Amino acid sequence: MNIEQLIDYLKLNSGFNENVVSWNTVPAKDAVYSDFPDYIDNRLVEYYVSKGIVKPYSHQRAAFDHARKKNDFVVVTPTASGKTLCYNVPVIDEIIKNPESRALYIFPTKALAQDQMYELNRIVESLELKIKTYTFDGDTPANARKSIRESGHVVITNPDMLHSGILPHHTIWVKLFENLKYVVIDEVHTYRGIFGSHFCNLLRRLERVCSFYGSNPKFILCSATIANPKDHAEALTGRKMFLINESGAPSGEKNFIIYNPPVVNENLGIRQSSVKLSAELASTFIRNKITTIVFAKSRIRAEIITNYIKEKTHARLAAYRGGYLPGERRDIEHKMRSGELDGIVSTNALELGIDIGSLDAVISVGYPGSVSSLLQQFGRAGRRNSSSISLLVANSSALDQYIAENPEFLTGFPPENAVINPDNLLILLDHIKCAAFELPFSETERFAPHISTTKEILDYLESEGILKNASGKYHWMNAIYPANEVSLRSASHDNVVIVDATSANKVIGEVDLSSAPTLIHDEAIYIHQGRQFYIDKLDWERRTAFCHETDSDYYTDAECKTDIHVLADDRTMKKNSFSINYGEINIREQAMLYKKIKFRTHENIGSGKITLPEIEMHTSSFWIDFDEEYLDSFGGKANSGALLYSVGYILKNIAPVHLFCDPSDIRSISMSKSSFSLKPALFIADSSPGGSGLSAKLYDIFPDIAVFASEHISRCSCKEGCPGCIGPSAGGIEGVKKIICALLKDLSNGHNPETETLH
Amino acid sequence: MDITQKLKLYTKPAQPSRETKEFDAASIGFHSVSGDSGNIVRKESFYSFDDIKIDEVSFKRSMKSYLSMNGFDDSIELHEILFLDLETTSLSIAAGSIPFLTGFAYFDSDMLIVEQIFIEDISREKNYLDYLLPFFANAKAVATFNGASYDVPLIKNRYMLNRVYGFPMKIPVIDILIPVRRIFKKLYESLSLGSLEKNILGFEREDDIPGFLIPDVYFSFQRSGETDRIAAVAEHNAVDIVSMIRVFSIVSSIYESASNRDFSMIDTDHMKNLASSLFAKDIDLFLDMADFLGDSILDDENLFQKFSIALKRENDYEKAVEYWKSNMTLFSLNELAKYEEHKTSNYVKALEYSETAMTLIEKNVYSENGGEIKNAARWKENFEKRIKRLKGKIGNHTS
Repeated sequence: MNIEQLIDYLKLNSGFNENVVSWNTVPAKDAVYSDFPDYIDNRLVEYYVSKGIVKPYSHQRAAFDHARKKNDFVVVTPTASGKTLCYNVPVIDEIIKNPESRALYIFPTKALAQDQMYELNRIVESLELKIKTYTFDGDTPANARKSIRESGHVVITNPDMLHSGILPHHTIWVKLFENLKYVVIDEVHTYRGIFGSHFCNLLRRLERVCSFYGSNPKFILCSATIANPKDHAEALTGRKMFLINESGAPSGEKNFIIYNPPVVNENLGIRQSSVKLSAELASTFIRNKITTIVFAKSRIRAEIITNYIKEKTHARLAAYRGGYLPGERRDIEHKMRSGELDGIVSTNALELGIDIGSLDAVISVGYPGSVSSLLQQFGRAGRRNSSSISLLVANSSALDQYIAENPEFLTGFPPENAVINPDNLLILLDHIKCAAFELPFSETERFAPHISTTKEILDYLESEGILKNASGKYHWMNAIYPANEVSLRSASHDNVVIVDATSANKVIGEVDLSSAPTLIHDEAIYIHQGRQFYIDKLDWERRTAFCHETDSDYYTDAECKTDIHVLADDRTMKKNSFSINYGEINIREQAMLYKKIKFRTHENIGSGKITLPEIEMHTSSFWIDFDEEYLDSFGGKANSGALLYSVGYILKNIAPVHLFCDPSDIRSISMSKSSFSLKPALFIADSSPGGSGLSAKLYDIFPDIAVFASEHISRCSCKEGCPGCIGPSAGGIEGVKKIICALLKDLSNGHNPETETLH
Repeated sequence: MDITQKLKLYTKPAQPSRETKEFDAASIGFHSVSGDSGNIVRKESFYSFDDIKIDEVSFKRSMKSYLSMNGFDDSIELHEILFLDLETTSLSIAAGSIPFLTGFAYFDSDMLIVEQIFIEDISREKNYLDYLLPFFANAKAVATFNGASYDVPLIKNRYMLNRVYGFPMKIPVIDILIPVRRIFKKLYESLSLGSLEKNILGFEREDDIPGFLIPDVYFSFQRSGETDRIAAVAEHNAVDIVSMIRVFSIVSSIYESASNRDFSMIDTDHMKNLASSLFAKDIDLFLDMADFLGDSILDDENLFQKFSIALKRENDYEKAVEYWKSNMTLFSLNELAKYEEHKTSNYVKALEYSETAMTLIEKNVYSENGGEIKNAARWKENFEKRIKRLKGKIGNHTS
């Protein structure tokens, strides 16, 4: 079957069709061309013509014109629409005309940076130009760095390297900063949430350094589809941006399908496993020579699906995820591009624009948490001249079921806003430190949006002995290297490396410190490229886990104990029997034990203790304190704990859709007795240290969310609760769905801003 | 909560700072001087050649040997060298690392003049950079101890950051740590100045402030005006400079003796190290030194290998073979097998050497006297290939 035949086959297959909740067809689209303008160097135009690009697409031409007018702009067009041309042409043209000019490219990953360098080098070599393009990242050899600093026209780097390798050493990058004409930032949709907030501050630092050297580079940004590209680009750069969002690129017919696996146990509301079903569908596709990429939500799922497909098809298949070492990843990318692979099973590590060519089909196993992520995954399928399939297989989780119940939510594909909160105090504090290390602050300088906030933070840092105010300038006065203490991506900067002790301590992968206690504790089973490794020892101090390869019939799943202390209750709305609050909290978390779970049957076949240090963080949180009698009145004293957990479960799963965030950006913790109010309490907290602004927003829109949650529970087809609505634990309480709906309704009425007290 | 309160919650509060005291340069043995470049806080000390235990005439001469043997312009005179040592707020050379005490020294009319400048007020860093600029501009070289990768780039940063132009970016840097590494490698517990003082100069400092405490002295001063330990830092810096110059005079005289073939003046261990480093640069001198060292190079596998290869390069096979035979290690057996195979075409003999090597590898020893094999697999592969090839060659000849 070719792809068109496969689409017909699926349309006519009733077994498949009865579980399709939505099938949207986007018709094929013709190209809209424009002309190369005369102001572009002829050689460059001839190069593209020789490569078959006789005329640029309309959006590419728009980009050239904006660059010509020295405008900052953002390009938002679909995957494979030729975005790189939008910046490579103005940049190379500028350097041809003025060989002193420099450009800085920032890509979120090293892999993308490599791709870009090859692309630019191809052009430069073919034109025999003396333009030097280098990647500058952690892999750059020390002896090459000097010549990159001095002679690199285009330096391609990533945010982490800009943060800790370039900006703090700006004095040896004089050539670059004095002559910087363009800053190109691709994949800007990835700079959202905490990472985006850090990134915004990083750009503030970049601008400070540029202005010290007297340069004022223009910014060219590119993004995958998000709802607010212009606003987001402006929030990141603090500049007015022009928007280019009309793509002139052609595309084949696209089929977007949402598939909800059939219910196999009505009592428990359990559906057929999305993992298994996706693996089966992928096997069918791949057997018919339909190149397919499967996106799984976790490393473990990706590995399981890979093994399944390999068993069924003998396909040439690779698993792809973040924990792999650069060489392994490069190899997979290359094989996919050159047609040596029939399919890839990936985590979201491949969502970013890594060039693996176009595929016929995408299967997303479970909703990846945001519309823009889903669109990124779906964008992997689609060739210019043939049709493609993008398939979302919903799982049993509440969020997926919420989407399966409301497919209209996705059919128009209104992607999320990318939200950043660059003025998160902790993030701001970190970057003001880094910025002060790079160049002294003057008392009247603005870094945070307000001079007064900036000054307040600077004064605080002086009182802490980190800065010294001398004659109106704050100078760095500390032995630490602040960039090393700030991670752009998460709370913890550290990674733990995993080494195979039986194979000359070969490094097989790494995980971040905060996931280490649950993923690679002693005796855990760690899965890598479909191979299983038994963790012999996690050496916490040395950030190293030692393992050996094994062949077990189970995997491990860890459980944590969590403690919360309220540090400040900033806002409170009091009702007779409960109160709704927002404030600062301290979370302490300790991995306690792990369970051994058998593959396929998922039965629990044993457990063990985990003894690792506690992980502590401060953040912001929304919470509800309940009077004990009030809570007990809903389902009886014995069931109050389970009810609370279920309310947290549904809120945590529904809220991200309305807060425009990733489910992992917030977390729910229920406590039978809060150490603050001494009452039962439910916390919905920001996952990142210092807070991300999400729980504050939840406090404001809580009544709506409580109503949505209760409607979703009533609509859910299960009888007494399922993972798709109130979660697994409250089963067994009679009429539990009605009880929880009643509780939610009561809570939504108790939200009355007039009763609010601010502290 | 307001911002400051929140920040206190999120971060660990520091100890309360003490009252700031008025700074008095005299309290640390410095003077506040005003000049063309504005106010600076400075100290000047004078030393005679006797004070620093250096023979003036021979140092001026031997230094020239050092310069010419190490690729520097040997017309540079001692008084044209600026010696430099910085005390800084961190070990990094990034933008936020401040050289709060700069020590520099030069010879003038039979005296060594050590000047030290203390940055009392960081906002006046530019003053001291201005003051220092002519010293750099007039010097023909800067000499430091580990400064090629630390002190010099760091001070360049400061000029860049303060927008003071005119720093001679291409000035030659004589990094005294480089010859120190070449000559004293592996002989002492470390090659720090402290260790060199103990092992080469024959003294140990008393009441010296340890290097890791130095940034804190400045931070305390900035926070509370505490000046108690600054004089100790200045003293530490001055001793560093003098010791650096004394070490320079000693390594210079070793280079001079080597260049004059006056080998009896050089300690055997120093000579072995130095010879090793000269192998790639001056093969004649290397061979002369090896000759002088005689059998004692047999104890030094590295030197022994270099020496026999040098003989081979000079086509002195007779002597090389003699050396290899006197010390039958895997290395020697390999060289002997190569020699018999390619030079004399005595394949049987070559095979014999290779097979002897294989028995050593099987016993897992580097020579008949024992010793550990590094890269056993590579040696094995090498000899196996050679044996196979030799057997082929012997087969062809006999058939």
